[in-house]
Parts: sequence; C-alpha cells; structure tokens
Amino acid sequence: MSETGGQTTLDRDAVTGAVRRLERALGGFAALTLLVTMLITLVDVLGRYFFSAPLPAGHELTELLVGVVVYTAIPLITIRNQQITITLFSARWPEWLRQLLLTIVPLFSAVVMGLLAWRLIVQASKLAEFGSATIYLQWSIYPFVYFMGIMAVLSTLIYLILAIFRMKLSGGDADVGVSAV
Amino acid sequence: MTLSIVAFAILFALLFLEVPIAFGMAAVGFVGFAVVIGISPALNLVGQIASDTVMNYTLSVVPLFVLMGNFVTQSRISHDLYDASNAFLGHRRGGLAMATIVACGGFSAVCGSSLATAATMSRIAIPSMRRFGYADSLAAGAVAAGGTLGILIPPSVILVLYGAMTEQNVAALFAAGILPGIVGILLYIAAISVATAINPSLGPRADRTDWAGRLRALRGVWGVLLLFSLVMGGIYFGVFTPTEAAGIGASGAFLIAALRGTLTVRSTIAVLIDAARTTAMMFIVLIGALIFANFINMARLPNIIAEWVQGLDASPIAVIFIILAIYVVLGCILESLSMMLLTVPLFYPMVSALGFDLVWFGIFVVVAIELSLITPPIGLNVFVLKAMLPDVETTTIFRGVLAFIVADFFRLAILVFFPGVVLFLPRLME
Repeated sequence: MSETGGQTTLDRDAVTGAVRRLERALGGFAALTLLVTMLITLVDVLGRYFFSAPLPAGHELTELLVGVVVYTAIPLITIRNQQITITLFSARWPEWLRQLLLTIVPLFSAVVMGLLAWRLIVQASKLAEFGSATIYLQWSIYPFVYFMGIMAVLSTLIYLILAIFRMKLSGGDADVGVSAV
Repeated sequence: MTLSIVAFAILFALLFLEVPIAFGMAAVGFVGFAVVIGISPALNLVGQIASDTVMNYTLSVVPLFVLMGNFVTQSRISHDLYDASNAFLGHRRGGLAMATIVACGGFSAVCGSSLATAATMSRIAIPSMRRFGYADSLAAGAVAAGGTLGILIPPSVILVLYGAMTEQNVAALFAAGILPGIVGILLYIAAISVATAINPSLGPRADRTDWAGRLRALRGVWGVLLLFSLVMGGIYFGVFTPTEAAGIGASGAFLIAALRGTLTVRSTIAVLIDAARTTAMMFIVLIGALIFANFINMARLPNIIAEWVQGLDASPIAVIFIILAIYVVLGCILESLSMMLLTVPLFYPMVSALGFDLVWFGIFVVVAIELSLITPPIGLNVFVLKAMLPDVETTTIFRGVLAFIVADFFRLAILVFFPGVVLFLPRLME
C-alpha cells in the first residue's frame, strides 16, 4: 500500500473483500436452490409413475425456484462482468474512448438495472395488493418478486461500484457469456 | 417505420460501445415503447416482463438442461464417446475427423450448447488427430463444425427460447431437430471423405480396431445413449413435460458423473453455480429481448415488413435465402443467442404469412445460426478453437472449416426443398 494512494487502495480492498463474501454467499444459495429444483422435478416424476403419488405443487414450486435462481445469479454475473457483450470493436476504439467507456458502460448498466429493480418492487407491491397466490399451495407470490427486486438493487449497486472504481471486481472474463449457447 | 430504424441504429451504436446486449435492448425497447404507447404502460411492461419471464414453467426447462450439460461435461464421458466413434471409424481415411463429428453429435444429444461442445471436444480430439499426423486445418475444422451440432440436436436451449418467442411447442421443435442433426452429421462425414480423397495427406488412416475392441469401446457410452433415450423419448411420447425431462436428465447426468468418480462436493457446487450463472446470462438477455420485441410489435415493424415482402411478390424461397444471408452477416457481430432473440420476432410473422411452418422455421434459423458460427471473417466457434490452439493460425482453421461450410449449404438446401426432413418426426407425434 503506497503512501500516496493509501486511502484509495484501502477502500478498494474493503470493497473487494465485501464483494467476495457476497459472491460466496449468493453462489451457495443459488447452487442449493438449483439442486432443490432438480430434486423436486425428479421426486415429482418418480412419485407419479412409481408410487402414484405425484408432488402436486411440483410445477409451481419449479417456477418460483427458477425465478429465485435466476435473480440470485444476476449479481454474480454482474460482479464477474459476464454479461453478453460485443467486444469485436473494443481494440479499435481510441484510448480516451476506452477509458471513458470504463465509466460510462457500468453507469448505463446501473440505470437500466435500477429501472428493473424499481419496477420489480412496484410489481411486488401490486401483487401484494391483489393478493396473487400460487394455485395449489396458495403461497403469496409477492415475496418472491420482492426478492428479485432486492437482487436487482444489489446488482445496480455493484454497477455503481464498478463505475466508481473503474475496475473488474473479480478476475472473470466477459467471454464466458458466450458459452451459454 | 422511421422510429424503428432510429431505434435499431441506436441499439447497434450502444452494442458497439460494449453496452451489454441485454441492457441495450431493454433501454431502447423501453424508450421506444414509451414513445409509441406512453410512459406509464412502458413502466408496467418492464416490471411484468422482468418477473413473469423468470417464473414461467415452459422456460424453467432452461436451467435444468444447462445443468444436465454441465454434469455431462464434468463426467468426462466425452472421452469415451470419442474412443467409441474412433473404434468404428478411425481406420478410414480422415476417420479420426469423422469420429470427432460423431462424438460431437453424441455429446450434443446430452448437452445443449455449441461452444461447450466445441471446447470439450477440442481438448480430446485435436491431440489424438495430431498424433496420427492429421493436418491442423482438418482437425480444427472438424471440431469447430462438429460443435455447431450442439444447438440443433436436442436438447437445445436455443430451441426452447425460440419456442417461447413464437409460441411453438418445445417437444415438436426438439423432435424436428433430430433428423436435420443426423443429416448434418452425415454431410460432415461426406465432406471429410471428399476432402481427404482430394488430398489424402490431410487425414491418414489410423489403426483398425477389431470387433471385440469396438464392443468394449461401446460400453463407455451406454450412459449417454440411455440418458438421451430417456429424456427425448419421455418428451416425444408425452410421458413427461420438457421441464420434467430436463430435471430427470440433470439428475441422470449427476448420477453418471458421480458413478464415474468425477464429482466431489466442491466440484458439484461449482457445476451448480456455473449453471445458475449461465441461466442468469441467458434470462437477462431474454428479458431485454422481450422488452425490445414488445416495442417493435407496438411500432408494427414485423407487420410492415411482412406487408412489404408480400407486396414484392417475391418467391418465398428467395425470401428465405435473403434471411439466410442476413444471419451470415449478423453472425459476424452477434453470438447465437442474441442473434436469435433479436431477429426472430422481426421475421416470424412474415415467414408465417408466406406459408412456412414455424417449427420448420425454427430449425432453419438454428442451422443458419450454426453456419454463421463458422463462416469467415468472424465465426465464434472458430475463435473458441483459436483460443485453445494458440499455435494454429486463424486462417488455417477457416481453411479447414471450408468443406463443412459447403456441407452446411447442402443441408440448408435439403431443409428448404425437402421440408419433410424437419417435419416428419413432429407430425408423427400428433
């Protein structure tokens, strides 16, 4: 830690440490939720064909859990910069533009993610008002949508951090995104 | 119309400036929708799409198929697939390259991703082909082309998303992908025969395996065959929904990986997290694409295009080949998922109005996208291989891919002029 840049380095370290802990916690939660989703479909089908005892709530549980998995993983891909991006022209942009994009792209992303977060929370409060519930278990849907909203808020904050520190928080690579398909 | 053109221009400007594709589409779609309909409905649209898309039973299939593919990759069964194909084909001229294609096809049958297929097979097939003195061009070309089978042979995540966007039955789309996938394998093998007949030094013969050895090699792959039959058979005969099939497939792939001793607690968690990440990447692009699609629908762009094309009185086949040309060009800048999500809402009303079956069109789009993954100057599969084989020139890989590109054009011609190849299996289902 150099004397001149001590303050910044300290902040960076603190932020990076916090982000790492967040990453581990969210990763564990997403893994567990996905595992449970897989087991629910398995138990549902096995129960139906071998024990004539299907899991009646299987379908709606799957829907809700996949929603949780997706939104838990959104901050994870945000931290590692794994959003699918066209990087074809990046090498051709002049240096000043590349430097500028390092701040502007995360800011733009923060605005869009913030919009999603805001609308998800509004959507959740609407669902709470109407009392929307799942068909079989009669579970309220709004807490799940609130959860999605909170994860979107978290991702927005991560984008703001990325914009402020102009850095990648974790040693991820953007190209991983294309392995999706 | 003007609004739509401006919107597309802004979208591509944003994407070239490295704004994530999902956010570019979401932002332009939101603003456009607000301009056409009003700010308050646009705000509601965002909230609804952001929540409904992820809690949709049809789309719940996505993380489970991704997970299945990840467990299969982890199980290293790809080695056995390659060995088995080799035992049958290796002694022919270019046989190791043919074996690579067959192994890629087998791997695709349990994994829905093109790039994962190319990346996995390159690690196994390329060293073996080099050992037997194969030309780098043919070796790398076979892997790059074989990898493209991943998104066509079911399960295919991209076909699920196509089904969601065009309201087509996922089971029918999966059934429709099987025969064109097999045709693809056969044509790729034919391409290798032709290439090695012209220049035998590209792929010399390797050792012949006797029947005892062949049967032994098959033992390693029964798991894949069983898993594919269970998953696709279950969907095809309506025993379970695609989502249930995916859950079974993921559990089965987990079991295979565990029995083969390739799983630890740590690696299991890593596989699960990786699948969750991949799913999130795809869903966020899907959310952006749906917001954008709602805007272009409100701006009536797909209808305008459909009416315009009908007014041209062009032959439907000509229109289809123009669409193909558009995909080959787009393949230079977009990866397959974004390409499909961005273009399909635009094209499908027109294609449907011209009298094409939308299941057929889904397969056509996927094959066209596959082709764009290997066409110069920029093909994503080729770059994946380049990253794994730093000592091979990109131009060498493209030279090797050339024969397979010709094969793909033959396949597209077959699909266009004999649509029965696509529609035979789904029609049997009804």
